[in-house]
Amino acid sequence: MNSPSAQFVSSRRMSVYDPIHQINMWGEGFKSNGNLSASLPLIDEADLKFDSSQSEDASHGILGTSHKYDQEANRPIDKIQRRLAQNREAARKSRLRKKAYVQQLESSRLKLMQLEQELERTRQQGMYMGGGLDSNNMCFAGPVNSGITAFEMEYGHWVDEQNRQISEMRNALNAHIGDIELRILVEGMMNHYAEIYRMKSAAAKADVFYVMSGMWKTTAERFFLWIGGFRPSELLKILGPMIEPLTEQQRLDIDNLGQSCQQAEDALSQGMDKLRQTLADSVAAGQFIEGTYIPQMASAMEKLDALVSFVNQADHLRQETLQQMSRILTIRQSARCLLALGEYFQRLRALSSLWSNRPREPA
Amino acid sequence: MEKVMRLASEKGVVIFTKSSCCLCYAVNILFQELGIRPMVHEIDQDPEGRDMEKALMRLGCTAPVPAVFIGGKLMGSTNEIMSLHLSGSLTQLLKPYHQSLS
Repeated sequence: MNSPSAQFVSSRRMSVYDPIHQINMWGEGFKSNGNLSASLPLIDEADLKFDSSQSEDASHGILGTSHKYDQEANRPIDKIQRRLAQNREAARKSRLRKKAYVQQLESSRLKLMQLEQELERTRQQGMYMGGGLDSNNMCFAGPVNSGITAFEMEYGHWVDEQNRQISEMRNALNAHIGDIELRILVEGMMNHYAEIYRMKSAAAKADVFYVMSGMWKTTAERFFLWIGGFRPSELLKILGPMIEPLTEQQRLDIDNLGQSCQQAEDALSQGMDKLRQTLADSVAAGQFIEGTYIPQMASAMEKLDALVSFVNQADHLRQETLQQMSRILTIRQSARCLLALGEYFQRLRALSSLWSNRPREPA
Repeated sequence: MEKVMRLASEKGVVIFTKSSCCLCYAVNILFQELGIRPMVHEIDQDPEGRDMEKALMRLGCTAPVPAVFIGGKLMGSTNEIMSLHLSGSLTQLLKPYHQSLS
């Protein structure tokens, strides 16, 4: 037969990619996995048109076609051929789906690795968040401040050494070692305090707000914060009773030292208040024009530089207080004073831990 | 330099400051707490301010301001003043210039 329909049937029999098959398989593939690769042969309009034009041609042509088709498809060898073709197609589709799935897994794995790295980095920075809050109220870490990261690592070591020195001093005093050996321990502890102030000075240049807020300290320590550290006059009041007995001259000297501290602290506090006021004024004066601040903010930036010198002055005051105490006291008294100081901060840190781990009422 | 030395000797306690400097303000507060009313020269308001700043640095001041002179002699900046105060020396130095707050 030379009717177009017969031709059509033979070509259909030969080719695997006949439209009806296509529709079925594509439908299956599409349902199971939306991520099929582009290499999958898709039905295009031409095929569909071909189909519909066939059916429009002559109904008896169609009937004839399908009749022919059935006759031929009923032959066992054709059935097997068709089955094999279907299997091949299914296998091909399955391989493509698997490939797409594996590609998805690979990219997810990569993303997971990146997230883990970022998490590790953020954890190492401790509580430091360089950025702020974005519009969704999510805290995000800004660019890594290496000066602060370095400080936090060094601070960890500093505390370890501090704890070691405290134990050593306690043992030494209990063992009643001589003044000469005690002096070595006292000088060691004093130098260790000098070290933290050096570290803080460097950190203040990296991020003065970080140092001002005492971000590296525990919560209880931060409660007593004054310009990035402890308030010397308060500490003198606490330590005084712990280093009895004192001579009258010593008592007087310590009182005077306490008073001088208080006055110096007041002066610095008032200076800080003025700085806050002028900073607030600078920020208020800055205008917001199309997403950028006009130069009034430059003066605000200068004020922030002044903040660094305040932090340095406060630390200088702390160090001077310690040094004055060591001049007023005997070596043994100094040793006891430094031990008491160290143990006080250890207890304060322990209080922070206890507080954060306390059992809470169920909500 | 001459201007600096001349102004420094005009009164017992002289402080060179800058109007925007809050640390200078703090030092001034400290002196007032101690019953002293120092003479304050704001070098940023002075036409020769830049030269004065250079002169103060040359005299050995770590920071040009605040620069504190007591009895015409340069005592130093904030660091030095704080140390002097904690050691008790500052009050001694200020005795002759103490103004009774009447």
